Amino acid sequence: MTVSDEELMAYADGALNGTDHARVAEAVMQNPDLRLRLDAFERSAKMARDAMPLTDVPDALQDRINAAIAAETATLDPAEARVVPFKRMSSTGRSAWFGAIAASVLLGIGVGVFLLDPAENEPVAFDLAPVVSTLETAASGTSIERHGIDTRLIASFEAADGAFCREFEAKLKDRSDLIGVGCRTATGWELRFAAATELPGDTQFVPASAFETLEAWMRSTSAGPVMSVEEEAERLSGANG
Amino acid sequence: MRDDFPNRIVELLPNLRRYAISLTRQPDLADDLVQITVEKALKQRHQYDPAKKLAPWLLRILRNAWIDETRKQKSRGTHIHVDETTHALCDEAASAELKLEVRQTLEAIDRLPEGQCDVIILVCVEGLSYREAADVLDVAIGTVMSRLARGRLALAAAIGINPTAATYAKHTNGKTETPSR
Repeated sequence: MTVSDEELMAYADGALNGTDHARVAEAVMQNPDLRLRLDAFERSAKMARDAMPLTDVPDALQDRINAAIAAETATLDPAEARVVPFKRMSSTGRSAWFGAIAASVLLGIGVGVFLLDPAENEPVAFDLAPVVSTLETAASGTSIERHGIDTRLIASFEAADGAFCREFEAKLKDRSDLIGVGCRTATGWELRFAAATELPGDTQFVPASAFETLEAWMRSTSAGPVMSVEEEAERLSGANG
Repeated sequence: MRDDFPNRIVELLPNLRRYAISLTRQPDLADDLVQITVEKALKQRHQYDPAKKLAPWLLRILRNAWIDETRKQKSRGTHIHVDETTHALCDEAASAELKLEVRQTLEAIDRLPEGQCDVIILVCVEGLSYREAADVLDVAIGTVMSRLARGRLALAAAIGINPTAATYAKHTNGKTETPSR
């Protein structure tokens, strides 16, 4: 009679059905080596469990969670759903993930998207057309310079409406760099999000909150998860076909 | 009717944070990850099957959010310096007045391959079934079981529990023969 490690472990965890349970139980009774291994499975699980007890949630995190829940449950009007999480983000701020520099955070949604300059909070037009060919062909993780714009593709995902979307960073001449999201629709590519990531002529200051704002926008619009390399390649080939 | 979905999430915050620390190895990153998880869960609650347990669903969201972020950081050319930071598990072991046995266990878990560490925490620590862990990790249940078995034997050997049992596997391809009757 042969008992695999997986069976023995499942026996130790009480995860075997009646027939297999009885078979392994009998084998364990007969074989001292199996009893040693069974003991190793049982004790290692207990050691791991004992070594990692639950700890109290820090007050700061609890406050952030309470704020998130309050904002979500207070959002009764779907039209407001996009705005509330963004406001919450700007006040609660994630410290480590994208940096902690507080700056004017900027958001553009829909066809009337615009790029706001963090220094002046003035809308600045941004034309997606020069980067469309890059969005249609370049894999995430690569950079391509076309029409004087150095574009780096960050990730691909699917928007709630099913549109194929691409997050990118663009280095622009004579003006602020930006992060943006372009999505392919039935009528072509459209810019759905854009935010400045640095001030013109000031490379020392990077408003990291632009990334926070992007994350907030993605959550508020129920953006899908980041696509795998294979999924992205499939959607990209669809763009050319 | 009272909506207890948010309260059920709050009750699981300690579990989410524990798993987040095991992934990020940094408490501040872990807290960010927990917040993102809760926000996503609230947005996606219509996708939750109330017939199933809430914890595995939340742990899956948390893990996917972590994968998304690490992938994006990689595309940006930035790197989350996990390897260069003090591992939270070991850090905790060093700072607290823990028994030697507990400290050795944490250090041994830390040294395991990522896949084995993950399943040990999900199954042995968080109490998920093999099937639930497979759903969280998006792998086959057989993969969970083989990783878990190898990880637990390696952990046992590392902390001095029945070391002969772990070395035995090398010679028997993980199977133990018992005389047939």
